[in-house]
Formats: sequence, structure tokens, C-alpha cells
Amino acid sequence: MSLQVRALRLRVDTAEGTFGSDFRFKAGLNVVRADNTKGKTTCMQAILYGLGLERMLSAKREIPLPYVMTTELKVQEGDVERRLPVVSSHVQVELGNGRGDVITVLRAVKGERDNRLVTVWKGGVLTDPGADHPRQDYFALDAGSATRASGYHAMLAEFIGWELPRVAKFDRGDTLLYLETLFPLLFVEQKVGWSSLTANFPTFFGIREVGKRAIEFLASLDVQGIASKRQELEGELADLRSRWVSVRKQAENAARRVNGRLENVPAVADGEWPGAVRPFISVVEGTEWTPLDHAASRLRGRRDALLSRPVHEVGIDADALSQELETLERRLDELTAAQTAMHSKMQLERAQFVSMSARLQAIDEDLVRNKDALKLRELGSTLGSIVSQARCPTCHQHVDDMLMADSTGEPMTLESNIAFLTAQRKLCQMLLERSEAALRSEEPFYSAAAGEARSIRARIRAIRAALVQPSTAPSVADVQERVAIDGALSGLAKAEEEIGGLFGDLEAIAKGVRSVNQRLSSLPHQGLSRQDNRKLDRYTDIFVTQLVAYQFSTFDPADLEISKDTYKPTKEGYEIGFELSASDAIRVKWAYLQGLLELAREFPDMRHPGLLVFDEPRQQETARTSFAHLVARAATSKEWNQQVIFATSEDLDELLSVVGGVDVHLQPVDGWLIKRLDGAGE
Amino acid sequence: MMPDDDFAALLSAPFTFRRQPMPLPGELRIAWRLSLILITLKLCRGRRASLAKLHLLNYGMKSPETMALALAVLRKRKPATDLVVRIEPALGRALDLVRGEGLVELVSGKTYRLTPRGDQAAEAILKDVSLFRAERGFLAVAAPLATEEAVGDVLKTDDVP
Repeated sequence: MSLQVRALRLRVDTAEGTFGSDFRFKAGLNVVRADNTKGKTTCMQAILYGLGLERMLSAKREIPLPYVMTTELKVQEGDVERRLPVVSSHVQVELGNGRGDVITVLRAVKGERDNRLVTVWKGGVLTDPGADHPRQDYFALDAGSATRASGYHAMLAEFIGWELPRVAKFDRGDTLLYLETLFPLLFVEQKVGWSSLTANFPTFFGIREVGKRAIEFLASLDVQGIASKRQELEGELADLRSRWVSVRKQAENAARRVNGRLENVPAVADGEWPGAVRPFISVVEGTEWTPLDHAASRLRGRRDALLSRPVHEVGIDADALSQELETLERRLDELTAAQTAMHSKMQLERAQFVSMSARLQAIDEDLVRNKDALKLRELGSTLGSIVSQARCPTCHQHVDDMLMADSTGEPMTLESNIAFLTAQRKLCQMLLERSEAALRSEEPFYSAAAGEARSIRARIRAIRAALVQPSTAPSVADVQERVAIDGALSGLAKAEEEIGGLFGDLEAIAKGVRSVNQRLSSLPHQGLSRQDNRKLDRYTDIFVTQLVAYQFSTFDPADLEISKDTYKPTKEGYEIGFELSASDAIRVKWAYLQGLLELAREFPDMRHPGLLVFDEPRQQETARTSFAHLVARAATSKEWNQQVIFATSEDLDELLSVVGGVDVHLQPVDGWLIKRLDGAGE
Repeated sequence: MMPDDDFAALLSAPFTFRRQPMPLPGELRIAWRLSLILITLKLCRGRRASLAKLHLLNYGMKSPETMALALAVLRKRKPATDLVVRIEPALGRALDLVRGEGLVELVSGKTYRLTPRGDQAAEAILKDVSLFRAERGFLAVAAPLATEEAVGDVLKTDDVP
């Protein structure tokens, strides 16, 4: 994985001709030298802009380039300084990767061309202008630029050799680890880049722990793979759980059709299910729950007894039938009474349920208002003394925080009022759930009673019909009973078969849960693999040796290490930061980013592209000797075919004395960066 | 163990009772109600409204049900008689307080209007989109519909100040 900047071209068209500047970069250390305000930052920003990375600096899509590229440029003629408006302008960057491929990108800054359009040539247009290179347009910045085939960043990531991972967001879901989140570790621009100790990662993508994800990606830490594996498994588990709930619901409905319920089927998927206790269905018989097969075998016994003899004639049964009729009528009366009682009990429960729901809604509304009030109190002084000091604006006396004419007591503070409502809400929610459960358990008995009453009525009709038949005719009552039992049996059999199948589905889901749980528990606990630990230990070594060389002095550099948790510099487990002197903070930043570049030399599996860009590394008056050591270290990048680019306004002679004896590709800029090209253009 | 004398002294000390602070509906909180008046006026035409209009909008914001009812009446989908606007004393008190704070002024004795400071305060409140979620939605629709004429129709009286 590699990325190098080979050349850069800036072009500005004005009414008086073309202006611009050209740069060549090589492997190893490149230094662009220009006086302050003469445009070295323009040169660095142009690279960033050419790479379509301006959102690394801010979520706004502002063009990060100065006036001279966007509005007007100054021309010095003798003592007179004139301003020339910019008609159009663009940036061209030639890039190489480790596999020998070269591309050149062109992006407009000002003019008629949409700056979201990037033209890419497959070849070095700037270093090899004669050749005819194939070209293609890509789009930058818009949604999909990093994912779609015609997206600029998707193309760029592929060119570098990166396959960008998906990472978790703050709100649910995941997103791509965008290029903008990786380049802060490779590119320090002058405006905001130096303000943080490690790197300024953009937060507007909403990526959770974005800094950690970026380091993990560039250093190819296994922990990232482990984390995403965990995430994937947890997603699978959630999926299984929701399937469990829906299959269980289906089985419950099937059971309800025969006034039954499921036994030993937990509401939440359990990997150990069914275990030793087998699940079964129980049905209502009178006022009791009985297992379905018991109820069915009783019915079957009765049916077999009936079938073993021919259908009775009415005469034989008449007395028995009259007696049965009497019993049945009594039972029907009982049932009707019981049903009425159950009905009113359920009515009551339902009323309770409705009123609890209403109460819950009212509490929720009030909670919102109280929370609003709490937030509004923070606006305090905007709303005046009544809110900020609880004083009446007119008489300046204390006023209770309430709008009642005759206060009958001191009101609760807002905080305790919110706590009070939250507790109420919890209680209310509990009562609501209880009442819902009561309704659910009562229902099967009610409908079982209704079902029994229905069949008794049918039986009574049949007996009555039988009693008025001629005594030699076959008994209608006898026939009716056989038919009724058959109907009940077939209903039970159907339910049993359907639920049996669903139990099979549930068992398969439980098995899935078990296997996902096993795979989850076999993932390393702490997250870091042995190789990860080796890399981070080595990172600490490289980091500390640099700090010694750069004359870091706030603490003993040997006390510092790169945290295995946050991957940031820590001292005795605590992140370092504000206690550093300003120049030491800069030294830490050099050592951290240069260190990551050097780490990639020892671990070829890392995804670091071997590129590091510092715009004005000598910040905060860092000692010149410290800077000299940084330059020397950066220059070693040549041996490893890596590239470091510095832009600086350090005095040229001094710079040369500092970098003397070091292999540096120096690019001094005399005067303004953007110069008149006098027809020398393209 | 404490000596008996001390114990006796403790027992003979006068008892004091203190009332437990009582919970209060959020709508009776000063900060909440003052802010609601400010954003109500802010979302009304000309940043001003009559007392009658304030009462009508205020009643509408009582609950989701009253919001729906008030909107239906203002859109003339339901007869005005369906909406019985209750006059809430807390609103009157809150109006006195916002006037005292100089956030709202009374123009020619009958119209309440935001002062520049009140306008700024309302702006600050509206900037936090998590505040008054339900109420701002209602006001955005209801305030333009509630012209003084429409308010008069709903209240069926012409002499409300």
C-alpha cells in the first residue's frame, strides 16, 4: 500500500494571461521553502484539495484555498501593486502508488467547471506530457463518492490499495471509514492540524471512536477484525432473537385457537432450550389447565366407547337422556353465571388498563415539559432575573418557581420533580404490564367457558330433538355427541401438528443462538492479538527514541508509552495533553506521526501508504536543533521508498545548515508562489 | 448510650414540621411558561397578539387532543362550539412577569408585543430544536391561522380585550 505525490501544478487564468506554479516531488524528504505569506500553504492545501480531502478540515464544503486561487491575485510592477480578478483556476496532482501505477487528477477551483468533478488520467500528465493518456471523470464530495464506482474517493482508495472497512456509528448502524478520517494521520495542514496532540479527526461522520478506528486500519491491527467480527455476530444474535419472538407468537396464536397456551417456552431465545424440560401445550378443561395430549386421550376414550356400539334407539336412552338434560341445563346456568363474573372482572381490568395508559401518557407529557423547563433555566439571564435568580422583576422579592396564585407549599426543585415523575412512570408502567398480563391469562378461561356453553347448547338441542323422536328411531343425541367429539379432536390434532412444527423451528433457532454464543465467547477478550501487542510495543519504542532526539523535556520520555487502549501517548496510564509545554506538544505530534510512518517499515502488513505531509512543522518556536533531528529522521524515508513533504518558511541558509549532509529534495520558491507564466503554460 | 438528661432534653425540645416540597406540573414552571409565551409571540404575525389569541393558543397547547381540536376548529373543519377555551390564571401571572422582565410590552392596552430583548430570547429558545417539540409544531401551523378575526369567531365575542 503506497501513495506518493509526484508533481503538482497550480493554474490561474486572468484577463492578462495565465499564472501558476509547478512542483516536482520525489521519494524521500521534499522541502518546499517560501517566505511567509508567499504561498507555501497554498501549495500544501492544493495537494489536499486535489485529493478531494477538504472535508478533513471541516464539514462545510469550503474550498480550502486562499484568495489567490479563488478571487484575485496581486501583481507587482515596479512600485505599483495591482489586483487582477481570477477568471478560472485549477489544481493538478500527479500521484504514484507502490505498484508502479501513475495517475494525474485535475480539479477546478474557480470557473465554469463544477468543482465536484475530478478528471483522472491513467498516466503522468505532468511528468510525461507528450503521451496520450486515457482519461475518465469522477465525482467528489457527494454521497457515494467513497462507495460508487464513479466516485473519486472509491477510485483513490483502490489506487492506494485500500479496502475501506465499515465501522460502527454513534447512532445505530455502520458506515465506511472515509478517507477524510485516515488522512489526519498522514497530512498536517497549518490552520488546525497542529492544534491537537495526535490528529484532528473529523467528527461529523458520526463514527464511534474514529481515531482508534483510523489507527487500527493504518496499522492493520487485528483488533479491528475482531471487533467487526463481534459486531457481525451480535447482529446475527439479534436477528435470531427477533425470529424467536415471531415464531413463538405464531405458536401462541395457534394454541389460543384451542383455548390453550404454551408451556416451557421462554419469551426470550435461549441457547440451551429445550434442555431437560420438554415444551408442551396445555388447554383449559373447566377451570383447570391440562396437557393437550391428556385432554385428547380422554376425548378419544369416550369416542372409542361410543363407536364400539351401534347408535342407540331413542327408547333405550330416554331416561338417561332426560337426566342428562337436567344436568346439562344446570351446568349451563353455572357457566352463564361464571361467564358474567369473568366478564365483569375483565371489564374492570380493561378499565384499569385504559386509565393506566392515559396516566402514562400524561406523565410522559409532563416529563417533557419538566425537562424543557430544566434546559430553559440554563438560558437564565436571557429570560431575566425571575429565572436566573428567582426574584420578582418588579419588587425584587424571592419568588417560588411556580405560577399559582395561592401557593400552598414550596414546589419541588425541577431535578427532584423529574426524578419523582420518572419513579411514577416506572410504577405506572409496571401496573400496566401487570394488568395486561392479567387480561391475557383470563382470556382463555373466558373463551373456554363460552365454547363449552356453545357445545352444551348444541347437546341440549340434540337431546330435546331425540326426546320427541319415535322411540325406535336412532338417537339424534347419540349421533350429535359423536360428531362433536370428532370436531374437538380434529381441532386439537391440527393445533398439535402446527405447534409441533413451530417447536421444531424454535429448536433450530435455539441451536443457532448456541452456536453464535460459542463463537462470541471464543473471540479474544481483550481484543489485541499478539501481533497487535508487538506493533504497539514497537510504536512506543520508536516514539520514545524520537522524543529523546527532539529534546522533549516536560517529562522523562521513557515514562511515556502509546496506550494499548486508546493508541494515544500516555504517562502512567493517563493521557498526556495540557500539561505539556507548547513546543513539547509539537514534538509529540512529530514523533507520533513520523513514528507511525517508521513503524510501517518494520511491519509490511500495515496499510500506511508511506506518505507524510507537514505544513510548517516548526511551530511554537521549537528549538532549531530539535527541528534538525526531525529533518534527519524524515530524510531516512528515502531508503524505504516512502515520501515526506515539508513546507516551511524557515530561512533558506539556516535551513541548509540544518539539513546539511542530509538527502533532501529542496524546492525554494522565490517571491510569490503564483507567477506569470508568459505563454509558457501548457 | 446517651445520658438520660440529654435524652429528656431532646424530648422536650420543640418539634418542627416542614412540609414536603410538592411536585408541580411542568406547565406551571416559570421558565417553561415564560419561554412558551415568548415563542408563541415570536411565531405570531408581527410578533404580537391579543390576550384572547394568547389564551386560545395557550389552551390549544394543553395536550395532543386539544392541539388537534384547536387546529380543526381554526381550519373550520369543526364548529367553534366544540372548542371551549378555558382561561388559565397561570397565563395571566406569567404575562405580568414577562412584562416585568421587559421581554414583552403591552401596546395601547390590548396587544402584547415582543420587545427586542424578548425577540432575542425567543430566538435563543427556538435555536435548541429539542425544546418545545410538540408546541413549536403546533404554533407553526396554528399561529398563522389564528388571525384576530378567527380568534373572535372562535370565542364568539367582540369585547375580549
